[in-house]
Amino acid sequence: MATIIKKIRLINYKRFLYYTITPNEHINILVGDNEVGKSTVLEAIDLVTSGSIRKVEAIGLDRLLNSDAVKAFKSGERKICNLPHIKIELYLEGNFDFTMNGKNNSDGIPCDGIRMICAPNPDYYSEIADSLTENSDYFPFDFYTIRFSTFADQGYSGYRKKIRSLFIVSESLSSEYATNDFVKRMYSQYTEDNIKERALHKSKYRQLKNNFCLESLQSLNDRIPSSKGYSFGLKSCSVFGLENDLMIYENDIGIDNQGTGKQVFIKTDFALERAGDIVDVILIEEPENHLSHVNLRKLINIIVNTKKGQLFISTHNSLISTRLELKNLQIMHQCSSKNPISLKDLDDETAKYFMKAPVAGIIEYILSSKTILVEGPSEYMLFEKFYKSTANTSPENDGVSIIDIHGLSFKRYLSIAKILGNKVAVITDNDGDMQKNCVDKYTDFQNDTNIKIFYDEDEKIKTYEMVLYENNKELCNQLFGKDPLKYMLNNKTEAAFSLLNNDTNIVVPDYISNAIKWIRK
Amino acid sequence: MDKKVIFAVAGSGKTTYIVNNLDYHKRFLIVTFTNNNYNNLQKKILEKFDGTWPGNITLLTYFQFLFQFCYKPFLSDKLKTRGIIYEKNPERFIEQTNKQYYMTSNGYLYSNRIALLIKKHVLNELKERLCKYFDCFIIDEVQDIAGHDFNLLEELITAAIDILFVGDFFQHTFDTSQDGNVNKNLYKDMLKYKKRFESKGITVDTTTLTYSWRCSKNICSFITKNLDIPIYSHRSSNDNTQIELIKDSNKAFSILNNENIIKLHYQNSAKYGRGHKNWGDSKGEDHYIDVCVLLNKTTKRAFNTKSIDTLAPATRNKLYVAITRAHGNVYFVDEALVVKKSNT
Repeated sequence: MATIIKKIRLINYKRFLYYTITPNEHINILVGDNEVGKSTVLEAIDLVTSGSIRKVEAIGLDRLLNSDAVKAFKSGERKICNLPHIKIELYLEGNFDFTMNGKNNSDGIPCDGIRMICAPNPDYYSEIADSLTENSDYFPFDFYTIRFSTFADQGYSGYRKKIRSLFIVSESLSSEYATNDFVKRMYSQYTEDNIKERALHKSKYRQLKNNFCLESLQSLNDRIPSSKGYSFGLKSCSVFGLENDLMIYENDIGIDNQGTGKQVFIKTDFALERAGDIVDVILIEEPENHLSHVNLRKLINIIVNTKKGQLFISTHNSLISTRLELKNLQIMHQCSSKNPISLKDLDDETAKYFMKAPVAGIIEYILSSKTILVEGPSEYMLFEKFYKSTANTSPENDGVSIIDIHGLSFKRYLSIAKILGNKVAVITDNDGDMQKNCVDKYTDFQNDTNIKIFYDEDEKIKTYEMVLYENNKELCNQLFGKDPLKYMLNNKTEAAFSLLNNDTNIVVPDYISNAIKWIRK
Repeated sequence: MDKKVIFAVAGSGKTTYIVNNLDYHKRFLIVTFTNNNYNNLQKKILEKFDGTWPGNITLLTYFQFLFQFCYKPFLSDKLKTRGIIYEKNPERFIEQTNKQYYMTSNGYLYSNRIALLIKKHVLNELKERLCKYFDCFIIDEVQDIAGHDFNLLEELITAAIDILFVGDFFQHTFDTSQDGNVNKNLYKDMLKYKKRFESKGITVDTTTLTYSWRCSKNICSFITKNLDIPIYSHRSSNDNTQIELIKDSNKAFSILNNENIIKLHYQNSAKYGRGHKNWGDSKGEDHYIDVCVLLNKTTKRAFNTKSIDTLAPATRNKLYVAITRAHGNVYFVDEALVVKKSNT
């Protein structure tokens, strides 16, 4: 049985005071605004699974400890027992022995898991106490100690991995170190069950180098005066051993010689090949960076076809989010919230709809707390103008998103809003039957106070263009010739564009201004 | 559930018996007290399974078991413990409900009270844990479990798991822990000791391991007769091993100078250098042929008056341990004849 992460808890870690993620068994897509902590979550998983104190020290405790926790300590009673601790807990499921199971976790119930703890070192309590009283602004980062242990409180290190993870970061990808690290990890994971093979590789490689020296360097060395005992040879310390000389090739081209985008692709592909087998958890940071649309689609297909292993992917990309199924999203709002929102409860049909539908700003929609949904581009184009003349400010300033959903599938979007609770106004046409198109269709949402449908109540004015015309007859006549309505209906976006570019103020239809007023409340 | 405790004698093959009971099917937890025995078990288990350690077998020393298996998973974070201190709590007037009763102010647990703490707070969870990870719970040298540790053991016996305890009542030479009057008289009366087990529903086997492979008939009958400890021998009666008090000083010196003969002292053997050990510390050793047991004043008097069985039980038990180390001959020599290293 492969190992999976059942729950992740972050305490006083970076931007999180107390945050819990309950991941899916297979795919997890972390979405959220910039600076909301998506990468922080990936990094946290990587740190705990690595069991490497050096890695933690390289980041620096002052950057790991939540700044609000530090502030709270400074302004409160400055006692050792009040010093904040950093904890990252991974609750695991897998085939473990007794050394993994215990109650040493913040849930306080016996389960399998590992954790990283950074806390003041009890050996230095008296020194800490002294420095706390001496300097009123001092925080004793330097007296903190980093510890990795299981929930049975048995220490572990990177040497004995409890769960094997791989972190694919696009930013540092091109760096030589990241590539070497990736190659080394993949090599050691591929040879994990066969230590003999690994030892054989190393000794053969050493022999090879020796032979080279003996055979090829001999005549060179013969030319060096032998009296002093100098000679040329190959470097021999471990840095120049096999693992550091290994590279992974794709069709005879080393991955270090490929572009960043291609590297993301190859590394992900290579890692996923044995997911759930030699790698338990794969962490991928924003794979859309550096990837073309075509390659991104290919990569998504590879991920979709990977049936094993637990994946965590952070992204801003709607294509990734919808194609890998919205149900797998972990939506991270503000860091002050206690956990991400999941769309696990979304009905299958809606999830499938979004896998197939055009990618219409689904991430923007999900992340926005206030949204106005419109049917098509002609509404969308004029909406900002409507908004400004109604509210005297731009929708961005109000944090309101305007999204064109290319059609009438509002209900799909509303199913999501029902789970997320974000405020959504729908702008729709009555199409000559208000009861049917604007009321009965949305009965599922009539009790949701965060959702409201806006439409023109005059059934004779069936569509948006008719509404525009009715409200701005003079301007339309002036702009669109003899039969302005006909022109507007036949050239919807062109007409909208003309109206947008015209300096004359347009009269905002009542239901639209009502929608704007409602969303701003 | 198969639950039994075997009262064995020295050299009767306790370790071998345990190792014979192991297989690849059940998950075994084996706990033992002395390092000697830990190493013996480790060696024999590896031999049995062709040099590779089977994943279904876990071998722990007693304090590893107590601290890492029983204590840490449940109470480590809660009580913020840092380790064990093998000393007694000097503070005598603290209530059991007070944390300071069990640990020092800087987070070290008093070794003799860990079992009490566990029994009081996490007993049921611990039983579940035991059953979750193991099918068979084996304790070697069970006679070393005393004080609060014995009370905890009594509770663990009732867990839904096979139990195999092996021990030699008379080899009780030191306690895992002592704490005031807790089980103070446990090892003074074998019948009562036996009853403590039986009352928990565990079968007491006093026949399987009562014959020694190591000690000859001569030596066994000497022990039975003079120390009042019943022990029999598997060895043939033609085995002409000697057990004698050496009175001739020349002979005594030649024994003392023979590097192949281990010299066992009641105490302070370190003063005499290499080749000398204390009686109690020789427990679990199985590689001596001839053994020289040195008699101090008290034991010499008991020898002369033929009243060894009236020595303090702890002294008598240690003497029993010392004598039973021998595959071959046992020589008793007056300790006064040995020259202390520091004097030479």
